[in-house]
Amino acid sequence: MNFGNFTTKMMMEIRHIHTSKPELVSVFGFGSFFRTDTPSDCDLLLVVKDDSSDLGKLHAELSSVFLILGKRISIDFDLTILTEKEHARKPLLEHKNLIPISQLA
Amino acid sequence: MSNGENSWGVSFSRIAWLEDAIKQHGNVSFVKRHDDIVIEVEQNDGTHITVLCLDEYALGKAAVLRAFKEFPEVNFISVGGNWNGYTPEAKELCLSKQVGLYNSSELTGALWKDEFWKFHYKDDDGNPSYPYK
Repeated sequence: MNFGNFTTKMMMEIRHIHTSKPELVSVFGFGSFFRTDTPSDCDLLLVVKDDSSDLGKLHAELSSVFLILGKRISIDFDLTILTEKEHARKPLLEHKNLIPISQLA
Repeated sequence: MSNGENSWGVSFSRIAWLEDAIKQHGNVSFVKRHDDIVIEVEQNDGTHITVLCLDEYALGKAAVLRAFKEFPEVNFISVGGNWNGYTPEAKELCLSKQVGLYNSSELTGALWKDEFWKFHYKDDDGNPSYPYK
């Protein structure tokens, strides 16, 4: 897997996060990080289950874990976190070009 | 890029822009910022508003619930510039709690209202129009 600056190591790190968060349904990449050589940050869309028990806590936890990962690998992650229902409306400009990074089987 | 002083990744330029815009508003008599992204505002009639400064292209329900948990005193959430917005779920949740949820195109109009959480533009048919994502 090779999109712009996205590496196999990053994919493995993100999939590791995914396995530890069962309420996280999918992770997608989009934006300049995946298309150009001069990205400002790495845009990720995280889709979480509609019936997550505590969406606010989940948002905080995901933000924290990606902040820690970003500091470790020197990348600024810019997260958009949406529920499945919100995601279904395809609200992002680049929704048609989302790059699947990690999805539940 | 985050300035490292808040856990929401809001840059200083975004915070400074919002703080300045509120200070210059004609219906605002007092402004004080704390916790990097929280701005206390008093309208001319004494109504107190606690604004949370965010910068989100598409603010969803999960982010609103996190904001409520981390900043229970907040009753106004700014999502940032005109190109930013929010989902219908996020707006409905905020309306149910009498919390304003706006991007910068709506900011000025909302601050003129006593019931600031109810402000909205109208479409050609007179229906509420929101910067939904």
